[in-house]
Amino acid sequence: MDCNELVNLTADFGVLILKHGGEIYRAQETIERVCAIYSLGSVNVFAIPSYVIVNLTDKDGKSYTGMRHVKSRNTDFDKLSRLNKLSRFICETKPDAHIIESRLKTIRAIPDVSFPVEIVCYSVIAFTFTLFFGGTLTEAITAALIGALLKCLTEISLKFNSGTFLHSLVCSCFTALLAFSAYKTGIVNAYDKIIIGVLMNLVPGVTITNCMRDFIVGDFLAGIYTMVEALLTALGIALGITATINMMTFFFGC
Amino acid sequence: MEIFTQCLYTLLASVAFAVIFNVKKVNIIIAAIGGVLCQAVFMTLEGFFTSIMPVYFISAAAITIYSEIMAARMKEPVPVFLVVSFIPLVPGGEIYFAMTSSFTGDTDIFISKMLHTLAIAGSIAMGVLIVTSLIRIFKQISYSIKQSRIKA
Repeated sequence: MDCNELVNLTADFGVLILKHGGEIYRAQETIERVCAIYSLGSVNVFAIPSYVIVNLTDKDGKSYTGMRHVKSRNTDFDKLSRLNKLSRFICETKPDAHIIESRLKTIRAIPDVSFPVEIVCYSVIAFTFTLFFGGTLTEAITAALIGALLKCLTEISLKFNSGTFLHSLVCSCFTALLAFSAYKTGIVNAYDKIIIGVLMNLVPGVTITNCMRDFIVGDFLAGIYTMVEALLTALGIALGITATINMMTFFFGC
Repeated sequence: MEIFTQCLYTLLASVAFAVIFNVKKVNIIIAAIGGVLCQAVFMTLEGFFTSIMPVYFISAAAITIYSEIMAARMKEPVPVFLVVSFIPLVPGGEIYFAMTSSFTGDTDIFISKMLHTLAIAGSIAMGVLIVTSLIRIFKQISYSIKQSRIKA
């Protein structure tokens, strides 16, 4: 293992952790520990949710830098826990570069949750949360259907790479539109519980949790980054619902 | 009776969230139990307090302790359990009614509801922050005790 390989491998490692929903300090600590095991020199890591920079200065004072941009993020706790296990494995056995590389490759190749399963989950969440917030059974079933359609929309929106704010705005507009139409056509007697139930799908849970954990450890820059992301999502959802409902009541009456 | 139905809904929703986040095998059940625990604590304590804020605080603290313990035991990262468990605490209804009142022009209701929601969010965040910080300190102390024992 030479310095160049180590820097590139650990940078890739850090990117994968951040990409699949790990905290900033987890990425930093993992990189620092892995580099310390090989004792090739002193290491410095800078990580925010969208960037990882690893710098290694070897004993002769020569410095190596690896920098990666985290392009897209999707939460996948299976991959995250595998990465966690891999880092423990590296610290225990100090394997060669090609072993780590092949392990990272297998983790990357693990397929995401399949689309049909995700559709079912979205409907279940919409269904249960509509009941949870006091909706009737008809409302819950309508919510489940809207939830399934919402997942399809999310997939399309992610293909266009529309960004956090626009994505949540479009999704909430869509939900409010469908819920209001169901109300207007007389399928259900109220639309508010449906909207709340379906939109529980869009709650940025991972972002909020990681934001709080970043603040605790002292990664304030990363904490602010994730907080702004969570706020933008919430703002997009709120704006989408209110704008749509007001427009619909303006045109069709309440 | 209500507490059982609410907990059942939470259980189903938590399992669905766990599957979306690709949590594997036993961890799905552990995470879902966290969600149920959160809801059960919340609904049991609701009657004891005049204000709702301490209830949110205690529920958040409870699931944080639960997630930290389970994460240490299963050797998994903490978010795996924490993210799924705290979903039932999200004040979806409050935010929704605050937002709709903002557009119908009821500014007073909007402001009071919005402050209420922010206070809830603050209580949840405080619950998680304080417990996690305490656990970090505790871990460091136990780690340094272990180190000194190895040296001695």
